[in-house]
Amino acid sequence: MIALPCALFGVQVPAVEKPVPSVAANPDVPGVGTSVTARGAFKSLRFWVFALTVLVMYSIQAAFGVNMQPLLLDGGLGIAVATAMMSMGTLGSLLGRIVGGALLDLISRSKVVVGILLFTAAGALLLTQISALPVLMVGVAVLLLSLASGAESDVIAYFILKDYGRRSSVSSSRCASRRPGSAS
Amino acid sequence: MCIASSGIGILIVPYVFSGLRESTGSWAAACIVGAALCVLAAGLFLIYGLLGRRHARRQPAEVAVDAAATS
Repeated sequence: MIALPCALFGVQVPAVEKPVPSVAANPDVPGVGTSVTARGAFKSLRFWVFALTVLVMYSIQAAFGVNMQPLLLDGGLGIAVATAMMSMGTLGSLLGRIVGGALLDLISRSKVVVGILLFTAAGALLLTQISALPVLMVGVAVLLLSLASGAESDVIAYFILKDYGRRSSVSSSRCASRRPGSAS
Repeated sequence: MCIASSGIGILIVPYVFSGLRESTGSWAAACIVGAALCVLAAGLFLIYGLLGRRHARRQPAEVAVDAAATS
């Protein structure tokens, strides 16, 4: 009931489809200087290193996200406490998304991503001793993992846009919507 | 491609973690593997940054535009 009106209000579909402006013609577009085609990106080693990094990052977050509740229960926490931790994790993820996005704009993006990964590693290492830790420290570990999880969510889009420009990030949709007479 | 690769990992790695729990009897091994993978990803990311710098050194004109776009 809240999301649908927001989407209707926020996403305005123009009656006449506007042509996609040429990336090269718009110097204000972030990443324009390094705008490359998807094919060009696939040929570079750098892109594949990024893809592998993303694979590892998101896999870890998914692994902890899916297994967090059984991990907490096996660690000796009660169902109520484990559920409270999961709720706290959701809030942490939300907070991480906002703070991570702000930090990406404020400081070096490399430092932000490495920081995210170190937060995750610290949380994971804390959880190795879950049965010996006080509940507060388990909460800290869950919070570290969830903050990192939220902050990671925009990494793919942000880096692809900044490093490869819009041509590669939207190339598939452009190919799909290409029609005779339209600008390629 | 990036989304596809992350999707593959998202589908597989949770089962690997569960498998480690089943085989070792505790989550400690899975957590250590998770922490090690984080360090691996941080290392890969640093390599990504270094490759970017090398690329920038070869094409200084692009770097200037990229820096302007990033700021």
